[in-house]
Amino acid sequence: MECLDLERLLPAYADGEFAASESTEAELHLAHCARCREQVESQIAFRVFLQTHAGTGPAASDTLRARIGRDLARERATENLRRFAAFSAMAAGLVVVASAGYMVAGWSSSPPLNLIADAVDRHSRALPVEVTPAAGDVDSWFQGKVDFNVRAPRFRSPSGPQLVGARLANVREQQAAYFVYGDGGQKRMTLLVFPGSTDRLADGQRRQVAGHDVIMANERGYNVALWEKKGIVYSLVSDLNENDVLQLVSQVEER
Amino acid sequence: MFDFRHTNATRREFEELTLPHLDPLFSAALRLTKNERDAEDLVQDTFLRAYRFFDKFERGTNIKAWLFKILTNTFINRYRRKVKERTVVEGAEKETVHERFISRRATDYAANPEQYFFDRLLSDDVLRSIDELPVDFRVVVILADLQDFSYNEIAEIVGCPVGTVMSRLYRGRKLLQKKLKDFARGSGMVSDEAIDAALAPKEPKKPTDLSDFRRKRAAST
Repeated sequence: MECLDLERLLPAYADGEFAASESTEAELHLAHCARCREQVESQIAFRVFLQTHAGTGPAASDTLRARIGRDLARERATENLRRFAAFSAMAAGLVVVASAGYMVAGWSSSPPLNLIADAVDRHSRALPVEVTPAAGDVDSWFQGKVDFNVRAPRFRSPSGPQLVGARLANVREQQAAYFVYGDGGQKRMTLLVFPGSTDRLADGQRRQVAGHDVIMANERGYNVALWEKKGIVYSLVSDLNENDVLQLVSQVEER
Repeated sequence: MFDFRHTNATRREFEELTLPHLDPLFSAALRLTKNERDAEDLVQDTFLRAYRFFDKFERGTNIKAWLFKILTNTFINRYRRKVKERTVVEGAEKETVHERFISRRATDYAANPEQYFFDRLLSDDVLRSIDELPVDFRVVVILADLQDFSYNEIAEIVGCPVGTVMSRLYRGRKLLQKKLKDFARGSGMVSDEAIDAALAPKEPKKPTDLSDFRRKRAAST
């Protein structure tokens, strides 16, 4: 093997990628060629240097281990529930009634129930807003904070809900924008906006509203509407009745 | 038919196989995302995905490479949405064409290590230099030099041919050396003369794809 053959392969040799027979051949050449040998040694030295300084990072924290443990436990529980649901349905030999039908569909694709429960959790906890329209431009407040373009949705009707404020949120470890709307009185509604798709969501309780395929659910007394537009998922929660919620959804102007 | 033991056993097997790789995954995630919070989110997401797709994992194959594939894909998919950073990558790739390769005669290094300017650098500088690499190069440098994966494994993890791995690795290392040199120079730790003296006498040629070389070699014999 000559310099010309070997030179371009030195990194592969230094990285231990040569087969035994190729190594022997390369080493024969290296034994006689100081220039190639220096290059290999310098490449190996650099790799050792990198491993010394950056090879081992900090260990994963206990918090991270606990978070993973919780995820696995939840996944396992969901799986068990799904099996149980399938078993019960078969044992009972019944067609599952409409309301339970939604639950079973939910079990077979866990995200919707989590999404709905998440949205309701946030709504009921009434988390404080981090920015208000009075304090500045809400859209630009989100710039650099989330990795998608946020424009606060508006309601078309002038007498419709008005934006009270917004904050950052997380949906399944993903950044989300969270908007709070009020009607000037006691009624309050929240809208969670994040990149994603409703494709995998349960297909029960779907409604067509102004061209949107809207998924309706009821969780802990709150009505939740979920829909997707241009790769962004919207999740509206309020204690209005279903018809009023659908009416509101038809007025939402996603921008 | 209705057996919780199945899921319990699966979870146990999953944990036994995957948890020993948690620290390396976190360490790589930290270099990819550049901050602890995102790194933890990325690793958590990786484990959740791995668990959901665990039935697709072929028992007896390399679980570490499989986990790193999920980690890398998850990171890249999220990353690709960040248009801003992508622009930075394109700019940096163009720039590398004109960069000079810095190498040090390893024999001199062995004889006189205190002269070797890389030696003066702190681990923090090294980490910062890695973090500044464009993402495609950063990924292969992390996998090859920090995690010790072979070219074939990296090709499988990243989903590109071995030749591409070799050329990204070559360019990534080259760029990394340039950044380290800038750090050393900027901090005044070492004179310009020492840096110039440490430059390689001759720039190594861009690597040939190992499989191309083998094919040609087989054809000529």
